[in-house]
Amino acid sequence: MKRIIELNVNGVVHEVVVEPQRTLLEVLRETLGYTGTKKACDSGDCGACTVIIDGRAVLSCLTLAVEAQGKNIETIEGMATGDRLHPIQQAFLDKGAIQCGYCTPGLVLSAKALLDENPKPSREEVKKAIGGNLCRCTGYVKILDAIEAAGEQAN
Amino acid sequence: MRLTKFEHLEPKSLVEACAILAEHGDKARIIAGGTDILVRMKQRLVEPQFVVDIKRIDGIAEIKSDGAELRIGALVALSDVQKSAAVREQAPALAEAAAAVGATQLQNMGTIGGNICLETRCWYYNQTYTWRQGREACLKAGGSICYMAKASKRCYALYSGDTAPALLALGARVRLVSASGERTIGLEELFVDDGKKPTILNPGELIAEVIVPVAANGQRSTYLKFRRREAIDFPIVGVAAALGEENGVCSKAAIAVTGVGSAPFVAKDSENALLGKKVSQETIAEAAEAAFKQAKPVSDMEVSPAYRKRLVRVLVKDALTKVAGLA
Repeated sequence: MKRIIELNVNGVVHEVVVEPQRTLLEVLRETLGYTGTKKACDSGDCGACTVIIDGRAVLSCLTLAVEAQGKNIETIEGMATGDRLHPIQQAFLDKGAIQCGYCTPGLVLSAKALLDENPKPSREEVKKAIGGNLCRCTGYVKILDAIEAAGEQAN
Repeated sequence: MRLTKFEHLEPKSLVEACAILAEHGDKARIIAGGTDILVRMKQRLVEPQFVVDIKRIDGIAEIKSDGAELRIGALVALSDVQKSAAVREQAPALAEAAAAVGATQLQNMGTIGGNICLETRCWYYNQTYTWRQGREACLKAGGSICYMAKASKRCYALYSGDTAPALLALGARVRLVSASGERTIGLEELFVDDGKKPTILNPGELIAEVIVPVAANGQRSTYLKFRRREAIDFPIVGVAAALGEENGVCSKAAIAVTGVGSAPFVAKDSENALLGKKVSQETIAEAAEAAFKQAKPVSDMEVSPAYRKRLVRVLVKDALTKVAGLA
């Protein structure tokens, strides 16, 4: 049965008609056009679909859209301010922490959830925070460097 | 992978949830964190007509401590379990186990109740619908064969929950509720070594709360997990150990193992190898040997049964060495 729900994405409230079997990932990408959130494994293994809900990094492929109603959803589209990149995005750019870019939105959001709570994480804490985000171009060192640099810059 | 159609129900109380579950029986499934059930629904391993979201139920999403017991609501997220000061101080093995589940996102979503009820897994079962069409259905999928042990009449899917062994070592109980009432049982009684149905939960029954006795003075505990990828993986073997010493001898020993069978098991012989004796490298080696003998792995998912069995010995030894402070 279709239901009308309100999804608060990056501070903008969208009223959408959804069926309960649709995942938040599907609704973000297909109904609302937030295609920055990536779909890859679709089964909770890769982290490409990571978004932040109420301050926590979660997987949108394993979240039902109806269950995200009334919560604060942050996606990669909400990070930059106009033409100015978010410090984490800028740090990814500066440190060369991007190759194909497919894992990047998920990684940036995992990093944001971490730095919002813990602006000065240790290397181990950064590793744990992004452990659920796979980069298949290989090489996490620059990503770790970028997240640490973003943390330092914010202080 | 798209989910098939279902009706989404949101009970506001345990009573209402139990009534819904009783009414719809096998057509209904509970969703909390969703990290286990939604994957299985995408793979068409389970196709409920009713998905019962229990996250809006009040009163089962908190951790309470009265000094003697920790009461952890079934809906408490694994990330909150590991961050809780009470859990870290009074039940360290549980905090470590919660921190070892999957990866950060899965810990933010997954709940303690859901992790205890984690479905057993198998290479021949946890596959897409199309993949599974290539052969006759296995026992767990409603057929009559176990591809892990073809001569077997039972299913050998593996239990891989991380928090259950920690809770077993800590002597936890679970409060179960259903439309016909409630009961509190030792966690050990919840599990049965059958991959097809690894718990004794009745249809329509759910875990409302986990009750963990607070560690007695001087009792220590830990959880060690061996997995292929440190960052995100199920355990190949996980071992929890709790140890207490009084007057130089072991007054309490509890060891539980996950990843070996279709249920986590308590290594009773290991405990007996330690109780009343001085905890030393020698008695620890005896305890590890006893756990090795008790472990009877069949599944060759990820590693051979022989390798899995040897891992039990190594991890029991490491876990005991760590809690005894002998490392």
